[in-house]
Amino acid sequence: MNKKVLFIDDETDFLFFVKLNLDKTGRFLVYTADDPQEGIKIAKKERPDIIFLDICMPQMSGGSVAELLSEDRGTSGIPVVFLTALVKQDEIESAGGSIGARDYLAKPVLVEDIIAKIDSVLG
Amino acid sequence: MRVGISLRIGSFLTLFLAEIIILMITFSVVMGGHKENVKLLYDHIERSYLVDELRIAFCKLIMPVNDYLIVGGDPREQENFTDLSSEVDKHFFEMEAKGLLFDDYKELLRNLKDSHNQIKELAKEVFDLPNAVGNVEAGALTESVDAVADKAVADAETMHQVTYKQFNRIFQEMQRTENVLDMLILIGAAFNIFLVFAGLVYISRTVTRPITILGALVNEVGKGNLSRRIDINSKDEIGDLAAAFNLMTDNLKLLQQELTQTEKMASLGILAAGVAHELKNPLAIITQGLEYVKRCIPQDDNTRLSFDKLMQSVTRMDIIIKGLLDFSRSSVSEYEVSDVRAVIEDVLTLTEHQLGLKSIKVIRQYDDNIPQLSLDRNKMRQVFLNVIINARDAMPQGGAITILSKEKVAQGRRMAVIEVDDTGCGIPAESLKKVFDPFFTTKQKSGGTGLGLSISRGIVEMHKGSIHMESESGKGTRVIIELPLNYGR
Repeated sequence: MNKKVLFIDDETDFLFFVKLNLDKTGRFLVYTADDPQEGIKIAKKERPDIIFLDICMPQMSGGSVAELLSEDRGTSGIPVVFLTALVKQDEIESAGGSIGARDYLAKPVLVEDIIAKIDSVLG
Repeated sequence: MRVGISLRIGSFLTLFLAEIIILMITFSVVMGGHKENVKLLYDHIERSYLVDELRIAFCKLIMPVNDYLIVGGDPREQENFTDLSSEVDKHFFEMEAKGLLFDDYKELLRNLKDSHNQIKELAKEVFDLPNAVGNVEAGALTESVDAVADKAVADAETMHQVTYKQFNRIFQEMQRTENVLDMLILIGAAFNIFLVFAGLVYISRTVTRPITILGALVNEVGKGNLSRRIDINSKDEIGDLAAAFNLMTDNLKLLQQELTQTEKMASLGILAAGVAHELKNPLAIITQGLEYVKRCIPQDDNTRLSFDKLMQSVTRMDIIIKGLLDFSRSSVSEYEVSDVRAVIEDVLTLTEHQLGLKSIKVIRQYDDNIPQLSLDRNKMRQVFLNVIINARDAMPQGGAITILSKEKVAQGRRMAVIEVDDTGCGIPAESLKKVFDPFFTTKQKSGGTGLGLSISRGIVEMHKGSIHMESESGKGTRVIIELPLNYGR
């Protein structure tokens, strides 16, 4: 069964290409949201296996989204990988450290890196 | 020799005072002689008066003798004569009491006394003659009395002339003294005027004018022109002030430069972070898009090559953006006590293989006695890596890198000095000024971001140290890094 992957990012063009690339592998069921609220709704409804979350979004920060997800019983168990245009580990930690998320990918990111991350997180 | 302003003014006043004192002493000496002469002059006037009285007394003395022989001569003429004779004696006494100054005087006075005695003897004979009136002998005696009296009067006149001569001499001497005094006053006044004028000129040149210049320059510096220097090298308080002022201006200039540099870096940092973040997102879209297009279109050699080149460019952009982010970061530093040589060796381990490929030899000249430093090892590694890579890039045909470490004391601070010398192409003077400026690079083609040395400087300054570069075109470049030994977190 294909893994459900959710991307929440305000960059719609990024979401467009990521979905195309991952769909082409035939291994994943990809959901995307360019609005954090909508992303949370999808997460609750679809219960994805993994969520990729952009840190810097105009409506709400990735950290806040992760916190909301962790507060919901339905979504609290879903692993979160932060996508960021900021590079350093310590910045990732300050944004997501309180909810225990350590995984991140720095933009720009290759498709193979995304797949490798999914495989390593989901085992 | 150092001559202070107070010493200068003091010696000037002393000179002025000494001149006045010398003038006063001279004046008083000359004046003393003058007063003496005035006294002498009065003395001689008195003397001449006495001589005159004596002459008149002699003229009067013979009158009773002559009158006695006139018909009906009064017998009282003898008493008259006695009175007049004692008058003459009185004058003699007065003159002797006054003092006989000259030999001429003594001689003449003796003659006059003789004449007086002769007259007295002859008069006595006349008065003793019975029936003197008409007596031939009496007539003869009277003529003798007249003759003696005439001689006496002549002597008295001679005496008068002697006095007058002396009087004249003294008078002339007094006139000469007056001339000398006039001259002294004139010379003294002239010298005083000269001294005051010279003093004013001297003080104005060495004190007032420099202060005016100083004031004008202080004003200029106050308006912000820090490049003005005061060119006063006198060894006095003004010179000290000028030197202190120059030092202050230099420090201000340095501070201003540092401030400008810091402001520049800070605003650049903010800009860099913003730009980096904004660029990363479109770059992520480009990457994903390229990957998709690559999978979708038929693959021939040229298409594959095109995609590879496009991806390489994306990677290059990513490296530049990472550099920008590094530049803008002031992330937490972790200081630990480390041996700076170990940090350099870490970098050499990473680079030695590459250096070997380029026929670059590494020569180590470490001073083993340098104490350990408190360093952020990761950041310092970045510094030495930048410096060594720059040295490598300067020697495409091979060469040598000499790394020297030593200790020095500058302005009371103990510093570790690390020098990295290369034998490369060197840097032209124009570029040397800009090597630490962000985005300055001579390696655009090979992907240099122009941030390496700028970041390195930031790191060294974070350690309270300094980094600078010396270079000679065609001979090589030396990077000098100085780190304080006692700097901790």
